[in-house]
Amino acid sequence: MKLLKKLLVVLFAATLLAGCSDGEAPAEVVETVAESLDLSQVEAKDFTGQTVTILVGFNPGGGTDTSARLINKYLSKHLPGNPNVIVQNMSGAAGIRALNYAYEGARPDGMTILFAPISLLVPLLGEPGIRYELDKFEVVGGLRSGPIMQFARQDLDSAQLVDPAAISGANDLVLGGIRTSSSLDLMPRLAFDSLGLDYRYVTGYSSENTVRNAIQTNEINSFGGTFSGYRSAVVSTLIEPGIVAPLWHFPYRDAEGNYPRASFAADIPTYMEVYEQIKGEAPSGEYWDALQLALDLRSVADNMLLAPPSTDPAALKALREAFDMAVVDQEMVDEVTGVLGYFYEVVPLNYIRQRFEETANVDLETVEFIKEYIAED
Amino acid sequence: MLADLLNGFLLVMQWPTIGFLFLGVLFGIFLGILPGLGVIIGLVVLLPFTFGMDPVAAFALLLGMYAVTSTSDTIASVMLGVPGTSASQATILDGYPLAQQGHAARALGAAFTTSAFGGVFGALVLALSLPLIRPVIQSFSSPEIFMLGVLGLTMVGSLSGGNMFKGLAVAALGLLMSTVGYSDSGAIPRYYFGVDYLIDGLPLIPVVLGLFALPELMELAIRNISISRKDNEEVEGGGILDGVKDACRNWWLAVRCATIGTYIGMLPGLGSSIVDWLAYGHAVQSSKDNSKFGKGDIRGVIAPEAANNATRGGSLLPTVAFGVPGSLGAAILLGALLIVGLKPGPEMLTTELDTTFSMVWSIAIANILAAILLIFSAKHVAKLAFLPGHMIVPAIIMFVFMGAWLGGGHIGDWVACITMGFVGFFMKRGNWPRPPLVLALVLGSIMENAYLLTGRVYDGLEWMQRPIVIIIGIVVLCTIGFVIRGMLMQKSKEKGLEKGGGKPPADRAEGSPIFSLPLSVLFITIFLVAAILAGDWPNSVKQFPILLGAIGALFVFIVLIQDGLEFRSLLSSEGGLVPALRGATKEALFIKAMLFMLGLIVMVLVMLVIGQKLALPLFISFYLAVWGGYGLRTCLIYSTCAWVFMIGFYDRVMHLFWYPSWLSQKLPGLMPEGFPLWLFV
Repeated sequence: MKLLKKLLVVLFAATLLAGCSDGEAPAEVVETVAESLDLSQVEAKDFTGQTVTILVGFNPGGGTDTSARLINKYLSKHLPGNPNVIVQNMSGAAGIRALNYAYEGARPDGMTILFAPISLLVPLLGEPGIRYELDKFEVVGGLRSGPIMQFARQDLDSAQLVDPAAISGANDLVLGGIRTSSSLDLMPRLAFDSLGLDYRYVTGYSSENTVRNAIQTNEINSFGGTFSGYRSAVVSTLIEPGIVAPLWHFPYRDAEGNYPRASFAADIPTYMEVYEQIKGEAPSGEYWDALQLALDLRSVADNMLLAPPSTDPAALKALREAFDMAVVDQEMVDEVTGVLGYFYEVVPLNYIRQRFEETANVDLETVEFIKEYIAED
Repeated sequence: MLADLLNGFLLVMQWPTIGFLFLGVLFGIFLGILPGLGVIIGLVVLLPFTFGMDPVAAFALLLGMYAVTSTSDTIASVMLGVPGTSASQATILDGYPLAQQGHAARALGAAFTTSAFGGVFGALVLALSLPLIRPVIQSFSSPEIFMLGVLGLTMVGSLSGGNMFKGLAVAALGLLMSTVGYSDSGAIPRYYFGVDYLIDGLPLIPVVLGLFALPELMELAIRNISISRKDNEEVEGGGILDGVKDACRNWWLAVRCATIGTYIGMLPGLGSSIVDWLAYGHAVQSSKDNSKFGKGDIRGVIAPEAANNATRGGSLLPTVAFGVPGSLGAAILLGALLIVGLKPGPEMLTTELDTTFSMVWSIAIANILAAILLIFSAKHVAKLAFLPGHMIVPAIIMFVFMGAWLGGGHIGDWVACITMGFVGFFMKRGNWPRPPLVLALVLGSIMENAYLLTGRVYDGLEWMQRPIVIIIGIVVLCTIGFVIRGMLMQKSKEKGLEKGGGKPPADRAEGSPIFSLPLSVLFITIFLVAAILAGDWPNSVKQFPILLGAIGALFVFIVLIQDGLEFRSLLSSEGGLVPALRGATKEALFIKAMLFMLGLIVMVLVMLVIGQKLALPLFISFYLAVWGGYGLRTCLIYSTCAWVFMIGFYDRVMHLFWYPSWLSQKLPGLMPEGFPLWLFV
């Protein structure tokens, strides 16, 4: 019932959005759906002497925190009045606590914004403790920091695993994971199941670090990992010493609905490519439907900068403009590339909006299927 | 290799690298001293400065900080009996009694000397045994990690107090407490009773501070005694140099413990969390005369301090070479090093060996620097032990509550801290050891994961046939056997004394069945209820809690019988329940202790209205004036200093998330534009 209600709200918002983009929505409705505010007439706020806080829902030193700390300086540089921009960590409930706070606790004056990894799937799965509605947030900007990758030990088969398609002949597959509800578990599981592979699923490693250690000790022989982990540690400690090989990556969906290789990992095939190579046809079946949905809902933007609902339009405009200028600032590009080894892909706002709207039309049966799939142990 | 060793040294010695190393050391010392701060907070503050820095200089800054927090955290352990970080728990067993006897300076001197030695030793020994590292690490999978946890808990459970069953029961309780909230693997939150705060589990730092610091503060506040129970003039010897001499005299113990620290500390999973206990256990078991341990034996300080600093250096190499951090701290350090440009991998041991050695040198030099700085300041620090309690309590209260707040920034952190303060008070009075609870809380989720993973990867009892599992199992059994033998010997000694007409030694001074028995009843209820509540959960979520419920209940049951017997004999000797109760509560200053706790609770309630920046200084003034009887001037100066520190450090430097109090919601509307609100709310 709750889910249905939520979907109705989203649906309602979506129809309004569709209307507004044509410029036909009545003025009083526009105010209720701030996403559609026309900011072109608004004058950007001057932040002189203020302090803007970027909330991060995770501990310091992790991927999200690092990105937030790379961005804050450049937001300060490009915001009118060059305010002090600081990062505050408010970790808890896998980021949900900070999302809740930004949604219901923070003042909508543009002085508190949230930098968070956003999955549209999480709210649909109805995790306990969620009190926010994603589509009510004001999106300042979105960034992609690379697709989820899947790896396997090279000595899986008697022969060296050179061709990812050889995975179909591997015996004794053991897939390691972190938590049943994590994308790093869900996608590789669905990928193996969709291929009809026989494997043992061992989850509960406390972090990507521990998973990488387990594949070194041969306790597991396949795992899904983040792109930043791939660039910073997997290549040098696992791939170059010849212990593991990348199998595939789970690509982003583009605006046309296709799944090209992600620009980040252009030298590594997508899961769909390997599937076709093994099966001789495009992926299909209930596991595939679930995987596709998970992919679509995750691949909007890996991280978004969000402002609380109904944030002051003048502040919002200034934030968006500053974000847009920051991500093309060569100084920031150089610094991020220096730290991460690559630069983000900037996701346009209208693409994010379009994808937010689509969640209204999500196939509920598939969502239910994923829920049960996660719950089975 | 020798060339690389030299090149690494030269890299560190370059300007400004050595300057950054020095800065890192200073900052690390500061972090280690304050309760609740540590490596994680240090990285938060330092990381923004490292972006764009030359990698070697950035490494030096971070490593300098990282290497020495476990040196300076000894101060809190020795002076207050509060484990400064989870690495220095074992130090309190003997360090704090030494401070109480007026020997704080000696304990600190010995600790800093062995810390420096351990830090240098660990880094260099590991550098020299590089080829060994990989095979050792790779033989540690989930079953071995689980068994290491069992070993650590057995050590702490059997060594940290008189009664082994109490120790083991508390360890089981700590493990059970670690299962609150989401398990790492399952999708069902456990034992959270609808409270959002508990969904994430009980955070370590508020629990530690509540459990250890609040009961000690209560004591200082109520009796207005100094940390040292003796006056400055009464104490003979016990200077810093005596401590340094102690360290030198026990050099062989330090070498052995540093070796333990180096090699156990590098093991992935939980090696570094248990080294100080393994080292302490080794010191006790290898000493001919171990009767003084736990009552102020300097060897009980030397052993863990040598080990925990060796760990910092030792765990670095596997972290950078294989990307396998040995501990949470090392994992966070790895994350930070990646950001500043480290590319971990086998090249770190071949083509990049000079960089690796520069990191090893950084740690070694940092350890020596820190020890020198601290030894020179230890004289002044140790004087704190002779200050009257009322002068110390307010400052520590501020650090304790801000420390508890730091990690999560949630009002629940303060509630948890005060609740554990109550528990800690009863445990202390009832002679229940507290360290096992903390170690178990640290190890809990790692052990549960390793336990479940073992079940998923291996069929049946196959995992028990792995050689390292068998070896660790034997060590566990030997430890228990050793303790039981000690208990039996103690018994026969007492009997001998009784026969000879002497009195049995009264080491039950602090433990009273009046306080112990209610805890036994409470704990056994918790274990049983926890096991019953777990019944309906999915298999992976319920296995561990049910196992703990059963084991814990068994241990407490044994304690319950002992307590019951003692309770009965107490009743007969005191002549009834009422006089016995009155005697025990009077001796424990129960009423005053509860008043003190009430004061803290009121402070928290006031904080909800006016926020931390005003409530804590207000509490300090109130405490000094009402409880301490000091004049207005003292109160004002003291609380202003506290307020300045809160604004200057926690607000301006750390960008702490403050509690959104009622006042902080109202004040912005009342004050003119440009009013510096951050000074008050």
